[in-house]
Amino acid sequence: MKEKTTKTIINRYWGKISEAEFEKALDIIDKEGWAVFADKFKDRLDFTTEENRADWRFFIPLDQNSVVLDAGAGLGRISMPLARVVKKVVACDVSVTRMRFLKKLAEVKGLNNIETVVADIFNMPFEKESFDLIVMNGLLEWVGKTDLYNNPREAQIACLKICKGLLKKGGFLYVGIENRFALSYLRGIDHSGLKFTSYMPRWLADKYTLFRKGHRYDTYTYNISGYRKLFKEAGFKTPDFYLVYPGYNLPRIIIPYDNLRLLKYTLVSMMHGNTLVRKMAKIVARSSLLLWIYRNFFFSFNIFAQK
Amino acid sequence: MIKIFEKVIKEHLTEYLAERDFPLSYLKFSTVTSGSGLNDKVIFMVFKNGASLPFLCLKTVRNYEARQAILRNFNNLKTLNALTLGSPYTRLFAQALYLHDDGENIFSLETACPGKRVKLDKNNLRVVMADYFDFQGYLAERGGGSTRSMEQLAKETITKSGLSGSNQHKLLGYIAKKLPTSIRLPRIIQHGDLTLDNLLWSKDGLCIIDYDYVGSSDIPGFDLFGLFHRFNKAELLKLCKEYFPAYFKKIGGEFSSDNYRGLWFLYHLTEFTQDKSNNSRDISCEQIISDFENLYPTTSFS
Repeated sequence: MKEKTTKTIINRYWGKISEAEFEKALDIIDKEGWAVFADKFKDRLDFTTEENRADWRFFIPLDQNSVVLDAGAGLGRISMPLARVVKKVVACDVSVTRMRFLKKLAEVKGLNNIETVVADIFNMPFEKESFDLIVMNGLLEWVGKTDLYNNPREAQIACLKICKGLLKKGGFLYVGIENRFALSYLRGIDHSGLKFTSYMPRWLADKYTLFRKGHRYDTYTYNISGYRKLFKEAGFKTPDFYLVYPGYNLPRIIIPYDNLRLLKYTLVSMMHGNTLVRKMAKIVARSSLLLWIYRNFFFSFNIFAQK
Repeated sequence: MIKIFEKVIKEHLTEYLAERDFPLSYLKFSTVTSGSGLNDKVIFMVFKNGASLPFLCLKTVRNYEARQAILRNFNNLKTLNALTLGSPYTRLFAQALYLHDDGENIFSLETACPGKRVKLDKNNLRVVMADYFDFQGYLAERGGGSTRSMEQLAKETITKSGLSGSNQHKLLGYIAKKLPTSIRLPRIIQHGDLTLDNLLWSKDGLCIIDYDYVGSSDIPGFDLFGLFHRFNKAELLKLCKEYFPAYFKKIGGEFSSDNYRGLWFLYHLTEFTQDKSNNSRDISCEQIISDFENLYPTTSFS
């Protein structure tokens, strides 16, 4: 790798609190300590680092010699648990403030094998074939927000190709991402900040987003066949897909996508609540056809693609 | 990790597998209460090729430093297996099969308990109680029948609590003065975490999972108290009155008073000190007593 220390190539910030407020938080950590920071920001900034956020990592081979790139590392929720089991994690993000926070958090947790880099996904300062694993958790859907490419899909393919180049032979790319046709998008908002855009044909979503937001629709998600095509175009031949519940940010249950029996077992044997949704899920589990249909509306996926 | 799992299963569980059973499938699973911490277990259900039900339950940890969690769980299960060997109660628990520890990864393999989680109601609570009473009765029979008085029970529980000497002394005084209970009970191993999440139901009956706290208490009733408490705290006393007399009779205990408070205090103390967030040396007896008085005021016993 070219860089051994923190390098800043770009600086873009977004988050639950303003950048100025985040800077204040960093000052508090420095001057008054973590306890005061935690007390003042506990309701405004989600800085929890549950160790199960990276539980998907059990599905791929990682060991104490592995070097990992966490692209779009944010506040380090994936970097921290991974750093405990690998040789080194390079946490990369477009925000200087977030990376400063992540560095402090790693220090306080005694994790000295996390390196922070501030860079854009399209311009990362690493040599080819540097990593055993590249993590893109909740990032691929956002990379279309760029002027570098004609459309979001092109940007996503370019991004995947960049990752492929950075992976060692046999290395893995992990992507945590939503299903375009997730049932929850019928009652909630899409990444665009608008309702139903993921369900619309792209041309319609484009026009609608332009009308409502003043820019194109640029946060593409896909269904399974869409992801398969996307990864194939980027040079990854046979990615493995997993259904993840309740979502890729909290992978309590991870089910191989291709194995409907395991999905049925999960719905029938492991969900003991009597909520309406769970009752419906159990009804669905009685029929293979309904189960197959239900799988197409699952909220999110873990995707592993090997180089 | 999956590759290591598969290699170890292939090498050590040959009697359970044929070539056609591969590739195996893995379902990573945890409940809301399973824990997301560094030292909590991570569970995988393992399925043979084409199977609809798992045949193995694999338990590991996120961090090798936390390997004690796996060792404890596996050894506890082996204890239960040994206690129930050759009896009809073997089906109540999984069977411990193999422990892998290569200095970097640790995981245990046990048979997958059949069945599913169901919402507990009064009817299936009765079924649970019938199975559980029989199991505890069997253990009591094996134990030889010697019993302990309330004073002995209190002394043993408080000594095991890890509290400082002065706190132990004060707690003994509190029990002697305020919580007299006329009772003699045998020593019977308790599951230690008999929650709704840990009960699985199938056509073959009940199966109890999660063996982290097996043996944390040997005071009969501790499991029932925990289950009733989580099932319906408002009716805790009613449930105790409904089930405890038959249970104590089944295990050969003597319970000639309806004053449950002394027993409840011992159960509470055991739960309090086994709570991972409490460090026994730092807990004061006043804290335990006030916690108990708040949770179970005298009025709740009338």
